[in-house]
Amino acid sequence: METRIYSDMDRETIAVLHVDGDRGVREDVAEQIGEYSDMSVTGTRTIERATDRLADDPVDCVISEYDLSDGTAFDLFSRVREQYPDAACILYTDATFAEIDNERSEEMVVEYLSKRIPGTEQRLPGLVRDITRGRMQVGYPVPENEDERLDTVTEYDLDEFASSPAFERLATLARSHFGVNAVFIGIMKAHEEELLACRGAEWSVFDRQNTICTYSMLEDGPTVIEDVQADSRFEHNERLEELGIRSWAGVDLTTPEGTVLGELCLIHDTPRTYDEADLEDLRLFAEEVVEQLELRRRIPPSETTPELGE
Amino acid sequence: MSQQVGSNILVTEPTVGGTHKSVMKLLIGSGNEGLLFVTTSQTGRETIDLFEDCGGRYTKNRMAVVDASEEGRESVPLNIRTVSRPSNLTGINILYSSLYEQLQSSGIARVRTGFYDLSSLLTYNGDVRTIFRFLHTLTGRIKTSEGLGIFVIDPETQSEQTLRSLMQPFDGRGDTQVSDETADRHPGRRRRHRGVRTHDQGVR
Repeated sequence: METRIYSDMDRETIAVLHVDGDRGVREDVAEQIGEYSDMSVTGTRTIERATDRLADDPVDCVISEYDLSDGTAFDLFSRVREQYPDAACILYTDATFAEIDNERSEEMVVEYLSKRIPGTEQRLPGLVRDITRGRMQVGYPVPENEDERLDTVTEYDLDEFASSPAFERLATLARSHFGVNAVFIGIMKAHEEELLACRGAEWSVFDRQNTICTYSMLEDGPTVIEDVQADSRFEHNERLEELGIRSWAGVDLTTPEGTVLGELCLIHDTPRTYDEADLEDLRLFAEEVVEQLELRRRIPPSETTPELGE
Repeated sequence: MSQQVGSNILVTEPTVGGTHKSVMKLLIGSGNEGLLFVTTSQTGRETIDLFEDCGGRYTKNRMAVVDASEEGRESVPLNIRTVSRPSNLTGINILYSSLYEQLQSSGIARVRTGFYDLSSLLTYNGDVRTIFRFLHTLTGRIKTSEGLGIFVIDPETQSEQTLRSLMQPFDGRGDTQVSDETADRHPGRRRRHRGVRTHDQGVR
């Protein structure tokens, strides 16, 4: 299970970590980025120190020179992506393409900005903002209306709802009805899917890039992946395999205004199919979940009645 | 062709019988625009030949090619730069960014990008998370710099469900299929041409 805690900084201040052995460059970058109130920057000179910073504070963006005293920027970016898969990585460097060992890390997709081109340091703040706000380095598809969708998600007090037994009861009923290994009710946040309820597994949160939900949210109607390992989008996702997710079916949790908050999902450890009647029942379960969410959104916690499961 | 913001179009075209010509014609812009090709399934030289066959005039100071086909050669006169192989997304991405910056820093305000083709990329890079990161990075750069990106994919290499997912970073999709003549040579293929459909970017 993923255990990190993301901040909500990406919705407010962009937290930048800059790593460069040259103090002058660090000061220049701090000055450029420091001019903008929606960004904060911390500078350091080695991978080791940067790693310590990562452990202390969440980051939205890491900028690094290629050659560092204790490794390369790719070594650093690998650590960043392990901890913060959605963090933007920018190679801001004196190194030319020929000087970068790009064959050693073939899947290290980063932005590249050469210090050798005059004026590039002035472009850094804009680049940082474009990549982070525009989600230009995330490893999954993003709904077109994502900003508005996330605003709507924040209207629901999910921490409060997660303690409600009503959602656990619905998950229990659904698991029994469909005869599957696990059922969960997931809410898709900016970087993670948080589970309001889960039955049949001890799951509470997933990195967004490892969810099937972030794909199914873009589809109309229920989505069924009969065999996850036979689907080219997920067959190489080792996390799904570790969790035993072999078959997946889900339906959107859609507000009355049409915003998709997340998914109600059925999980099984072997490939399986669902007929039309199953999918209709799944829709009804999802409607019930949304109705419970709506009731709780409209009524402040202090006024919630026992009938609502408190 | 008018653009208010950058646009990225995914064009499906079967490899067998497809010529890429209709796609190439979209990339022939005005004389003051830049043009960047990324090739994984044909060499840089072949791409330039195709561009010229379609009526384009290759101009080194406003054009460049990232050749990841494994069969191409670097060429200083033609501004062709090579990357080891289609699976090397790090190399393709860094070289693409570097050439894009060079074109822009030479005073070219708008750059068009032709990507031939995503099918090879998907064949060599199985992890869709990396593919999305790669596509977001390229299409994001094109969009924020008000450029135009045309990305070609063979629809027969992917399920329709996967194609729908891959569409997300793009502003529109165009489907091109083989001609009647080609269909006669390859029974089972049908002719269908659709205009490039975009959401609301005003491209075509």
